[in-house]
Amino acid sequence: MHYVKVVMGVLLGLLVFLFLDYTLPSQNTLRITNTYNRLTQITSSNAIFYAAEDTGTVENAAGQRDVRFIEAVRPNGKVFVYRNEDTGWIWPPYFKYDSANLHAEATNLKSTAAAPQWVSVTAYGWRIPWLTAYPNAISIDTLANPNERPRNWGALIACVVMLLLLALIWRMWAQFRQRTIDPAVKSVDDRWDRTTERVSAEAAEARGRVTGWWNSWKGKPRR
Amino acid sequence: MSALFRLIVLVLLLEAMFYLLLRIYIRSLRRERLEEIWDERHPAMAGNNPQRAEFVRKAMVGYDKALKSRLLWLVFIIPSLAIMAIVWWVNWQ
Repeated sequence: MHYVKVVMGVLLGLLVFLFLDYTLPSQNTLRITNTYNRLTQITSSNAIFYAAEDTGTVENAAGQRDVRFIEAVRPNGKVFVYRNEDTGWIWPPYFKYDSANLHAEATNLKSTAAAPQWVSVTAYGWRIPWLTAYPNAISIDTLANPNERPRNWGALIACVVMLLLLALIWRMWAQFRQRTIDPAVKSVDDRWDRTTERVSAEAAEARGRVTGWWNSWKGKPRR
Repeated sequence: MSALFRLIVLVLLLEAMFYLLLRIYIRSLRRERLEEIWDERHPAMAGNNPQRAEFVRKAMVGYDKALKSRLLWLVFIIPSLAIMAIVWWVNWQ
């Protein structure tokens, strides 16, 4: 049982971590090399990595969306591809509906290796090549040099707020337990104690009567 | 547009739920404090008894008008403002 609990706890922690890693914004310093639209097949296996519903793009009868993409290169030479899609009004809660503007901004910041314009792209999501999943770009800020790494305030604030909420919910639950559940359990407990006491007292009395009757047969006086 | 209304309804429902839970919580905290005050004032009549229950009931009468209860309405205001701030930040920055 102990090992089952440990395994379940580790799995839950892993799930929470993966969920936060996917949903919270992350920032990368890179150089934008290209921006384009491409018809993208959204299948049931990778639909979860695209916007919850078709917002701001065109989806054809075959279920393909005309998704905007931003290609970029990191200072170490590795490439990175973002999708640029409205999130709509539901999940994840970025409420982004300016992907056309963002696309124009990204196109404007395109640069070559000879004259690089470094930018910091804020995005959420993962790049999973075999599922055709791309992180969704949220905003772009220009940087002076490739070594700059701006602090990720959005994720920090979100983490702090969630920790505070967790602490609040924990305190609320503790208060509810102390003031409502424990007294109820105690009153049930007391009633149970009283009942068992009464039953055992009656049983003892009955036993006393039986032994008394039996003893009267053996010629002993009743106690 | 319907997506926006769905968001508004969902957020309002969540906020109302949190408002009710927090209201129960701060009232419970206040009641506990009042019981402690009674026990301090009347050490002879400490513990759960009808007099103390009556004292707590009377002291809780105007609690909805207390500052803490009024600040509870921030549960509706702060998350809504936060969402508006995110919308502004993401789309107009």
